[in-house]
Amino acid sequence: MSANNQPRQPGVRPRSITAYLIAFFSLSALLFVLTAWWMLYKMDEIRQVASDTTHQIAREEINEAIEVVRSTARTHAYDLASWDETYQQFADPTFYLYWRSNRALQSGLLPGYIVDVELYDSNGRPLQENGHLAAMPERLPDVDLELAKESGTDMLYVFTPVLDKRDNRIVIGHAAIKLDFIAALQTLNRFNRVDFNSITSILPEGERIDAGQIEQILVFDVRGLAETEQLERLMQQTLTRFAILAALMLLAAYLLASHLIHKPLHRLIFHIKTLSKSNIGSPHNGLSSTLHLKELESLRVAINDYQDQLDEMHSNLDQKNRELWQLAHNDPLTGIANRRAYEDDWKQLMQVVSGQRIPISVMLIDCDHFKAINDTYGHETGDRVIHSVAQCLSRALRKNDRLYRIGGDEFAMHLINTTLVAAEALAIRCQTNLAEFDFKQFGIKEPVRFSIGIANAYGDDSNALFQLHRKADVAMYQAKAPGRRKVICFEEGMGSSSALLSNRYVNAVYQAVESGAGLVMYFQPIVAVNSKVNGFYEVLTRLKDDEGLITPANIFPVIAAEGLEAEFDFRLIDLLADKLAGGMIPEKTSLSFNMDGTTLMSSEVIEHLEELSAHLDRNSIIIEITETALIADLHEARKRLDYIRTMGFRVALDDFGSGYSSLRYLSNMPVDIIKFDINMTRDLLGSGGQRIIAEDIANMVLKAGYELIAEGIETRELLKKVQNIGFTYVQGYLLGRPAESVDKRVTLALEHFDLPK
Amino acid sequence: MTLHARRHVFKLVALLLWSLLSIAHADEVELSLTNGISALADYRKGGSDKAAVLVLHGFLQTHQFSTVQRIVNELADNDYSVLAPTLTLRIDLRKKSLTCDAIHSHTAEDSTREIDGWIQWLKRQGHQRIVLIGHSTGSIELLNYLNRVNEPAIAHFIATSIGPNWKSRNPKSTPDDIRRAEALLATTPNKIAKYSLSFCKGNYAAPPAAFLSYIRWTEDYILQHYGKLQVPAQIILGDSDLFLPENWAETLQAQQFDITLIDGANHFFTGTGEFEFLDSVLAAVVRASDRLR
Repeated sequence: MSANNQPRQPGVRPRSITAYLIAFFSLSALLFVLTAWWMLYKMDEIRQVASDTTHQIAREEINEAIEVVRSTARTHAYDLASWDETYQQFADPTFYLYWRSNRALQSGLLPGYIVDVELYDSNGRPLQENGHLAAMPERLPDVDLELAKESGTDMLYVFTPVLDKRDNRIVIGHAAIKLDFIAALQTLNRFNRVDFNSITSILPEGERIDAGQIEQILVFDVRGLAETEQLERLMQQTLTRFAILAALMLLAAYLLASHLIHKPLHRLIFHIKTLSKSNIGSPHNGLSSTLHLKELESLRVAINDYQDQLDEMHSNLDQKNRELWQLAHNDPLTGIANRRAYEDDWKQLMQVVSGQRIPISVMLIDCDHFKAINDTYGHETGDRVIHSVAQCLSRALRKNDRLYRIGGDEFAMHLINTTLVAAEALAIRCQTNLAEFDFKQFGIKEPVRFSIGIANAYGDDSNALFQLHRKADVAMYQAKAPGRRKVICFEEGMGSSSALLSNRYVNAVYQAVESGAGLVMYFQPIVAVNSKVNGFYEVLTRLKDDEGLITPANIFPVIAAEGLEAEFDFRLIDLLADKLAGGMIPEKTSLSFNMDGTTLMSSEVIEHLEELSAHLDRNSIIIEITETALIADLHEARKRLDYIRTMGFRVALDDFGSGYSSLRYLSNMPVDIIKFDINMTRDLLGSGGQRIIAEDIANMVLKAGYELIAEGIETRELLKKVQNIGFTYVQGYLLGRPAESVDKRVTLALEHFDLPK
Repeated sequence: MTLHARRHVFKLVALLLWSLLSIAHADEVELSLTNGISALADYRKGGSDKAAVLVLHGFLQTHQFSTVQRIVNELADNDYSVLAPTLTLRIDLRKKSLTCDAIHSHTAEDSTREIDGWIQWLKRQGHQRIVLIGHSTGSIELLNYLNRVNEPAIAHFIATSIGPNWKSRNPKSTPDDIRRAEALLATTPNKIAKYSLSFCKGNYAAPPAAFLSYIRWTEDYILQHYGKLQVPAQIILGDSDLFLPENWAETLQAQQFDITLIDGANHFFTGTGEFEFLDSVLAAVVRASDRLR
């Protein structure tokens, strides 16, 4: 499970950075609002404290001012009482009225807020009864200071004795002044906290009180609150400006964060998503613009570096893939395309031409007797031959033709939009090039010949296209036949073409390979000529479908064409093992079966044979290997055959004499039995050199210690012949046709065998 | 510094020192008057062999006035008994000068009586030879007293800065005041009105009779009555006295009066001429005292 697909941790829910940014700035704004609220709350507290303090200060201020007025008023009264002109009035009050109005109030002795003056004699009566001011008391009161509300004005009366100049214990009279108390208060004092314009008293009109109680009847406004309010306004303005500034700063911070973090992150995410959605190895543009944040810039650089590394890795992988493709699709020896390329191109070609009336030709070129050349002159020479053949063929190709090496010495071409005639002309040109090439330069003394088979079909005939390669193969094998033209174009009815032309056999083969369905075993007896050995049954394979039995002539070309030799043989081995396990084959009955050389070289062959070897204690089993297969890789074949023999199997070399293997190789082969090719057996009844050679080979094999089987014994004459030569076993219709089961009653010894009449 | 200047500095320092001592020895004396009030005076007792000197202040002033005090101190320093009374102006125990606006119910006769009272007081103190020194209006008050009272104890009269109460030879508003006062005197004698008198310009508050009692002290009054004096007299004027009528010194000189002019001195003999003035006063007193011895 990748990290991306890991389940999310419980409680962890990824959120966008936008959400976090908005949350952060919302929290900041909330914090600011709370701070502002707290500041306003504190400001209100301060204002309240300031107000209380200001009121207290104002009260102290007004009390001090009242005391100043009282004190000053007493001083003024004293000044009046001690004034020479006052004494003048007490000495001679003739001009008292003039004095009171023109001197006492206007001489400058008394301030302007003193509105009336009166002198009283020592008995407390006005100094001049006739001129007494109604606004002044008619008689001297008992108090020295008193406040009275008169016509809405607070008047302060001050009374002080006028003492005798010679003896201040003697009171000669009294001086009284009346002053506008509020005016005096405002004149004599400077107020900081008291709004002096607001000072007034709550003394009722006509009431008089002792001056000591003035503090209790004065009311006023506090001026200091205006300063507090101004300070509050200033703080509110400051707070408002701070709020605007904070909002702008938050906005700027958001924009900055968005610019520095949010957008770059989204760019990175978008870039990474684009990378993840795009094809690996496709070209990408990295994030080019530099990011402002060091960390993000590092991330960008890291992503670009990682992307570059990925691109480089992809490039390397592409290169490696191309190289692998080249290796997979090219033949290292010749440099031309190999079988895989042939098959890939064929599939692609099928798609391209499917349904179109385009003539397609397939040409197969095979070197005759190449294996013998290879064995005789060595692999190095064989490789040179193959390399030269590829060059010769390449020179013959047209511009758009492509040459494939699909086997050891087998070459092929797809010829698109090429008729059979044109293909044949190309084939002839190839043959000419090959014929003109001097293979003797490689030390090859024999002539090197090539067989070319051509088949043609149209793109709209899918069935024909499907069979095209096999037809070309049939044609090529036709060309290999002695005396035939070396360039053969496939024709209907050619060889076993009837089988090849039908999908029936292909389907049957594939069905058998895949599931074992339709696979049928036939048993043909191989009879021992003498009593020294025991005869056995060769297991022959047939396929059976709905239409009936399919003979080997129709089976094996399909197997060879489809490359299913090993799979087919494995299915046969498995089936044989099943039959042995199921007791369907009598105990002590020896069996042989054919194994293709490809199967022998397969890595899985031992595994299948081990399963079969479990039955060797009850049934002897001989594995018949075709000679051609053996000589393909003699060393490996020898190792495998040695191992198989150690497992308990015996090995027979099938169709000996049909190939080109040398006797020296035969002498080194780890086989127990040699099975003469049917044509060589028939040569034993021939005349001349063929018979002599066949007899000599048979004798030589026997002398070498091999057991020798003669197949194709259909006449008593031939039986007699092989008996005389000393063949160990005989096989043929004379001795018994392939049957679906083993006849337990039959003894596979010639002396006990009932030959047909 | 010149020798003259050094001399003046020395005198200044000495004056300050003796002023302090004199103040320390000053004695305020009281004189009960017939109108029920009392007057105060600064009395400095000096040598019994010397004449006593009465120094009278000027218009509405007291004996504390600086010119008076300098004269008193100078004489007291020279061991003269000096009496400097303060005219009551009908104010009991008056110690302060009166403003023009104050009610001036006092009359010239009141002053004459008070002067005489003090002369009698001096005589009671044993001073039988008395030199009178007046300053400004005080000089006229004394002239008026000498003109009315024949007191044998008066040995000499020194009139400093003597001048008329109003410039009758060059009148401006005073004639109208006189007419108004005379009219009021006839109708409402207790009516206080404001007049021009001496340095009071239209604000001398007084009943008409009181005002008129002083208004007769004109240039002619001085010339006429000074010339009739029965005691030796001399006049000391500052030649830079702007309070006096123009060519006043020449007018007096023309009458063959004994006049001493102090160069650069003003009406109060302050600043330039101060010491010369005091020297002149002292010299005059010494001469008078010696003459009477």
